[in-house]
Amino acid sequence: MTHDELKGLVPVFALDALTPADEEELVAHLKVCRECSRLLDDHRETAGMLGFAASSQRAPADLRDRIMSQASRTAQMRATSAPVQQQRSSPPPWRWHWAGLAAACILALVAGGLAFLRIDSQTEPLTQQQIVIARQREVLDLISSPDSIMLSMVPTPASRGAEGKAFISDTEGSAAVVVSGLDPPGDDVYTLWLIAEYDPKPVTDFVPEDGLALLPVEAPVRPDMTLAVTREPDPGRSSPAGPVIMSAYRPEDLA
Amino acid sequence: MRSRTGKPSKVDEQFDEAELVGGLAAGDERCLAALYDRYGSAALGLAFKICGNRTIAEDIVQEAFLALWQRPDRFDAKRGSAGAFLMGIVHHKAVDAVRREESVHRREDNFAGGAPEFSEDEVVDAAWISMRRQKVLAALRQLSDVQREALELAYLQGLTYSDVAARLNIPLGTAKTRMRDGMIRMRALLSQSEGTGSYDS
Repeated sequence: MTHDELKGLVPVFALDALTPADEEELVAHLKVCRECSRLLDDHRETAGMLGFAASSQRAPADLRDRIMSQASRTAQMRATSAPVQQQRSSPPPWRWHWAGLAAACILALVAGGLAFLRIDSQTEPLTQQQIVIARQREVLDLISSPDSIMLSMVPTPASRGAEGKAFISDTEGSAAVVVSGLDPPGDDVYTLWLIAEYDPKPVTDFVPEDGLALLPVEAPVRPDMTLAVTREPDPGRSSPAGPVIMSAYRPEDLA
Repeated sequence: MRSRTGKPSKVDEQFDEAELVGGLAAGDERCLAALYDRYGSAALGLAFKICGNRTIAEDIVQEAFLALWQRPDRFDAKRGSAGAFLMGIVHHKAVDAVRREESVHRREDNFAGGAPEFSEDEVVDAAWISMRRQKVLAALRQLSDVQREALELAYLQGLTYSDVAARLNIPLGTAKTRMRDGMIRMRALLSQSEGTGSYDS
């Protein structure tokens, strides 16, 4: 869907009246579009006000008591930007699948030459290839590290079957995204974004090799941030214009 | 007015929602009690209207207040009112319940006892909610019939736009347009109303 089409869905979303497929696409878009997010704030206020149209109902006395009793036993979760340490003794088996994909990316680079990542770079090809391979190996270490957190990228209908994982290391203050099954972008490029407070920052433009891409994120991915892949009409964009392909949100309370 | 904890509540003074939610963030249970006293009956009315089942409606209200208690940081006073925020949580949970459990469509006739009766302690809160309700109903009356119908089906019956289209035998695009235009008009009308007579003062 275009931006205007998605924008038109915002009031319907505020009413909790979207179909699941539309909702999925709009939620992904909201993570990267400040305009639509602000519009949603306004419409949520309106929708919340609509709730007062229903007749009030006197609650039983014990409902208040139940709520207060449960609240006194329920810990509050607090937003925090402090790094979270993971305590794991060994990498779980599912990591090896993604580590294998990452290794495949490196082999593809070595065997086939540079085909993706940093397509806007002015570096000489051989030097750049060596740099990229070194960075890919660092990413492979990150993926295999028991200290990193893995998040599944949530695909939108525009993903057309692609899937991805994000690996976040608070210890290293970095992250990586591994994506597989991406369609060739043709004249477009894919872009990875790091989003905090609806403010998307481009991480890298890329073109996948055989559908695969291994994307280092040399910045901390803190709680309440989102990683998103979009398909853009041109590289070097400072804000996304194309559809979201997939995204991963790091909850504030994920440890 | 006194809260039912016997302590002077924030509602006794000026009802400052942002301050109350700030109190929640500081872990002050009295602020949760004050918000419940103000919005509990309206929240239950909305949950019951959508799901039509008293037990489930009470559970939804309980979950909504506890969600606010657990994550008060999700409310941002700059982005809207606490009342609308809370009703949004209730609505979302009620719609989820309706779509998850078809059985809840077996509506009960009404709460036992019919119309709500409020004790003396609750009169101020009830009057305040009533005033807000009248403003919303007045705004709804200014919508076109088709816009109002679409909003009521979507919001108060928990239907998706495709359900609304099927129910009214209209194209999907028409259903979305009626809902969107109705929301834009409601937003303008409620903003006007807020400008001429405060909700929160």
